Amino acid sequence: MTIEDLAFVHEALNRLGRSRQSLIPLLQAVQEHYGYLPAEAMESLCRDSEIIPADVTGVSTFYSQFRHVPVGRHMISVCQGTACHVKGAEAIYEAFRRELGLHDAEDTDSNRLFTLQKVACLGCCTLAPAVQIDDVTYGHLVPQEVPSLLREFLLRRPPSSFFRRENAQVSQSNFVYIGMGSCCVAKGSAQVQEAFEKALWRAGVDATVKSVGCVGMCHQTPLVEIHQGDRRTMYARVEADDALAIVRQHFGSRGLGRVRSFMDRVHAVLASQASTANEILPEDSEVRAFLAPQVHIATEQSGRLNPLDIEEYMRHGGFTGLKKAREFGAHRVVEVISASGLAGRGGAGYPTGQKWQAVRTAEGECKYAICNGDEGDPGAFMDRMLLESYPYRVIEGLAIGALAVGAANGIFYIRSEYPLAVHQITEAITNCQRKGLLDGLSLSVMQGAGAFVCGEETALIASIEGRRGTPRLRPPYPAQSGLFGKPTLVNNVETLAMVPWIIRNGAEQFKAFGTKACKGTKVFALAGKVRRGGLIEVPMGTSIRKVVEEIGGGVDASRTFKAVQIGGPSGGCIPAGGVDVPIDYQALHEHGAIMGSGGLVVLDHADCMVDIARYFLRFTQSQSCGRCTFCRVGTRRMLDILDRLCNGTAIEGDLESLEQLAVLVKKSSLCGLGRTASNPVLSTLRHFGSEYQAHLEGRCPAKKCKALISYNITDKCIGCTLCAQNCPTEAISMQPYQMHEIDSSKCTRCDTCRLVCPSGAVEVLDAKE
Amino acid sequence: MVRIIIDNQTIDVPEGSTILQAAEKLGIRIPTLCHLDGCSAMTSCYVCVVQVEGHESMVPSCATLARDGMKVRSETDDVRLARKTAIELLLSDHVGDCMGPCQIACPGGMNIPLMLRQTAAGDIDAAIRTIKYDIPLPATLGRICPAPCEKACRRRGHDSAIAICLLHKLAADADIAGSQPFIPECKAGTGKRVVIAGGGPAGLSAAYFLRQAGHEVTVIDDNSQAGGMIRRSIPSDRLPGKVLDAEIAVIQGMGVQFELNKKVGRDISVDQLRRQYEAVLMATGAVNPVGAELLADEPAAGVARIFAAGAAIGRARRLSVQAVADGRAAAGKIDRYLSGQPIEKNARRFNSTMGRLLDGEIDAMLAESCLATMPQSAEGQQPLTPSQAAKEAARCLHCDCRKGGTAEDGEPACKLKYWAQTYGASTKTYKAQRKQFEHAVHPQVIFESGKCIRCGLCIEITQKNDEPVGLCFIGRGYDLRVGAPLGRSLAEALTTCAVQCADACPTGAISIR
Repeated sequence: MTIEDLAFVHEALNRLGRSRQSLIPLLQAVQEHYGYLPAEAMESLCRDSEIIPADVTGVSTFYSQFRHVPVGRHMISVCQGTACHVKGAEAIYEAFRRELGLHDAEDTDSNRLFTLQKVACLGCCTLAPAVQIDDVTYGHLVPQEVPSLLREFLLRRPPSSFFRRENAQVSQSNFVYIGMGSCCVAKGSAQVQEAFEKALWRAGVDATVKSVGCVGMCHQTPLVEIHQGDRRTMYARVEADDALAIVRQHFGSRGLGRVRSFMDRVHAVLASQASTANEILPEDSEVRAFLAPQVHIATEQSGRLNPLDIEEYMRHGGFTGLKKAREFGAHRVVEVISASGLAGRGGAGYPTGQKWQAVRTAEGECKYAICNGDEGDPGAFMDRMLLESYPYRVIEGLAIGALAVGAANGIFYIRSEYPLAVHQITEAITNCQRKGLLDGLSLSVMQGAGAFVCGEETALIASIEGRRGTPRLRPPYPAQSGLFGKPTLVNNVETLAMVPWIIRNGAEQFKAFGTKACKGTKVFALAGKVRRGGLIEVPMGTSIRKVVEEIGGGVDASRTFKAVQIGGPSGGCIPAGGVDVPIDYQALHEHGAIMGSGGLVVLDHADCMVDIARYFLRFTQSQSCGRCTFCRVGTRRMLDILDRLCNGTAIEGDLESLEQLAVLVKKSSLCGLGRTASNPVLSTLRHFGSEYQAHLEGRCPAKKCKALISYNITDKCIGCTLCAQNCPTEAISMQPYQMHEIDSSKCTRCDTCRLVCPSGAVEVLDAKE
Repeated sequence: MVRIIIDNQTIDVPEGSTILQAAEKLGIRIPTLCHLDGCSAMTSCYVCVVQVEGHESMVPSCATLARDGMKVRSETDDVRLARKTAIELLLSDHVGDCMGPCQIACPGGMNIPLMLRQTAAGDIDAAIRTIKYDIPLPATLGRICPAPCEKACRRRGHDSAIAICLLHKLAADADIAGSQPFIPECKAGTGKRVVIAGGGPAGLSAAYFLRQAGHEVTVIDDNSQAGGMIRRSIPSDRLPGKVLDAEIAVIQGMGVQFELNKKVGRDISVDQLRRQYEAVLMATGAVNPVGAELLADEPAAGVARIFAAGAAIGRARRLSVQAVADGRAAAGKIDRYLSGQPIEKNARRFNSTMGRLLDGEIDAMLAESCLATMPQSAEGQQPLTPSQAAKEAARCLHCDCRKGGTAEDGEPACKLKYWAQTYGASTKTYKAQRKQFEHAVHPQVIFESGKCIRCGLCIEITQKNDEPVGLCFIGRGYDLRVGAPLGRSLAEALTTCAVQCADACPTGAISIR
């Protein structure tokens, strides 16, 4: 590397600072520029700052975002979230490996065009299995589509400069609302938006295209809603090609024929003449079932607001909570929050009022308030959606919190996997400052760098300080000694999103929702084998059955509902028989699960519970910081046993050993990550013990564990050759009009043949049969 | 001050004290690995866990502050299980040997790698001390031992085994040829008298170790010279009588009495011995069946207990070195008997072993070794010059742990080994694929990352010493390790505090060369 090549490092140092605290942003900038962290750049960085080599290596090898070797031109990230896992992410990953010709430990193809990596949950759970290539997200993938996907990606037109109508009138009566949450964007809502702009221009129609936040109906994306005065019409799964037809249907008279054919294809929902969102009575029973049981507090004005339109937010009561809080004063704000019964929505459920009181009364001039947006649970995307769709609400919540505890500095810590959320919050902060709404409160954004454990507050603080995100023993709690040793308030995104509503409407209103012990509402990310996945907000105490069956529409008729995984890697599985349990911290705990941050993944008969336990443990294991023995080594030994169970190499005594170790890891780990890592194992052992026993004997009842199953073609085979054409390992030879056979020595049990078979002739057997 | 109750004992400690400090004041010893006074609480090993009333989980006593009224239990079954499990988990991720394969193979348990390091450094005095710590007759054994140690030597698979037997003979020969042969230190007299029937290798060995323990020792032998079978049956060109004489002279020099030409059963009865001495050891070899018969005897009250060693109890010992080991084991039992301790259990030394080398590991093992093959003269049993001997000894791979310790009763410098032994931890509880063995060399210390428990003490020490490069944690989770950053060498990372790091390291991961 030449001196000119290293000029960027100096520029970054000048821009971001030379202290150890700047290390993570510096590394992020260097990686953004060079594609990885070149050794020369790291040396140069150490030479010209107070940062020493030990800091660089310590930090850059802790966070999985950082790469130390050059990568291909494009980065393929295969999501490893829960929903993706149960919908076959591993097969997708293998398909990419085959297509790119990767061997052994290689991750980049020989042309250095693509680098393949597995990533923690992308938060697009309703699109599972999902893959991101650079900034383009693809959802609902199947392995055999991978080759064409890569071709399509390489051929895709370069992003055109976004089309905007010149001199367009901003109409106050006609609107086209387009959902712009990450799920919607992944399914092409940006192209849909552009198409509508063009269509309106071509039709000469006076209407305003408005991008709005997430509606929560992620299973129907992209969603478009047409407003003509008070008349509203919602279209689901809209494609760019549909734009002109929809525009003409509503605002012009031509082209009806085309609309008819389109109407046959998509769900069209005619809304009533209602004037407020709550009074919408959609004719579509599916939409009604999805929306009716919900109560929107954190997601107030769901799908109605342009996330970055500050005026609009203020027209809907935005920032009146903050104004009121200033009138109340800190003491009364804490009283109201305490009285509301609000508890931390990040998982632990600690009373928010108590936390605020502790920071408020802590001694110290300088205090900090931090919004924890490091949502990392695979299967959870509530915080992403709240940050993307309601940035002002979260900012208002943090501003109220800062006011209550006496903090002059607020920091948003958001994981870097959520670029849209980072963008929205950053813009929104600028807009708030411009409007002078923050009254001296200084707000900044720090991006995480790929470490789940940073969701733990002490690890998060270490990360903001520019160090490895290693948790420390509490007490002292951050309320006493947090960021830079100062009293610090750390609240989760969702918790803060509830705050403005509570201050505005009062504690009593909030308490009206929920149960005796748990007040208010909870946002859940509903995904997995459920018909209507999405983002929902329901009162505490709602039964899991209601969430899965009514809101989510249950599982497909061809499948059997088996269990709900709740709380992600810290939570547990509740079997189908126990779904009448209400959503309540205590009740879930008694069932061996936890509320967690709110990921709800529905599992069906084809999901192996031992595999699910292994999936979560592999996740926590990979995310352990490595500080304490029980989490670093103990979870690994548990995983060893689960691996043996799934590989058919388990030995006598493994189940007892697993359970004993699980209990000890739970009791003797330093932080919440280790203390809850055993939960998925313990809850599945408790509710699905017979499946473990079967694995010990070498059988997988769900026919999921590859080492324990074999594939066979029955006489239902019609000789269509599709299986042979799609088999990636040539385990099936092509025999037109004859019954096909699988060479099990070549078969990798990738399931492709079964998925493509039109006659259901592929069966899965126990390997031992 | 805060008042805290640990295991039903109450104590007042200053505010800000940890449970560990409070326990220390009460004389309760809580095991620790990652704790070091003067460094921050690492809360890594979790071997120091205790139960606090009202807490569901275990807490690390090293970092949990004592609070007024706190009730702590430090010795419950749950606590012991948690501690033992923490140790066993660490052991399941421990790559390295406490003892080298040579030392395990040696019936006498000689610390061969240490002896070789001393020889390589030209310190023959130190080498002989190491040898004679375990072996009373090295010059003798050096001539007749079939050297199981060399068969176990890892280097054998690479080129050839280290000439251990020859090197230890050389040191022993130099010792007895000198004006003042090495005489081990004997403890202050206990006033207890032990008689040993039989002056063969087992009897001599027992006498050697019993004398060191401070007992008065008399050896009775029916021949005119001590030495037993090895004096009579081994040709003198292989084992010259004067070599044996010189080594027996050392034992005599320690204060052991010899009564020769005296036969037990003929010149003196066993009953007489039992009345005259506090303990009797039958080490008469296979020729005398008395021992075996007597062993069945329950010792009557007020008379000496009878012990037996070597062939006297029917264990025909093909190897003299095994007879030497038997004599030492009997000495251990007699010493415990005389000091009123339970006698039966000879504590098994805890040992962690990594077993067979994986591909490529021999290169790591060779990092600190002389790469040359064995000198010609070593193969030909010709005398080696001191420099040749040093060179040969420098071929050792140092499979052992330099903090494994030598004393059976003492605490090894490796705390992991000590607590594993104390808590009866097994290396086999958790089966796992082991990681690659690594061995890095620094001018003052060696670093074997496989023995590291990731406590971070060394990292903090480099920070405190303002090392310009420093050590750091690399990676995270199960793959977490300690190393020098940005591909630097250990020498660059530790410019001033290498020895301090080695002293702080609770295991053999960083140790003095």
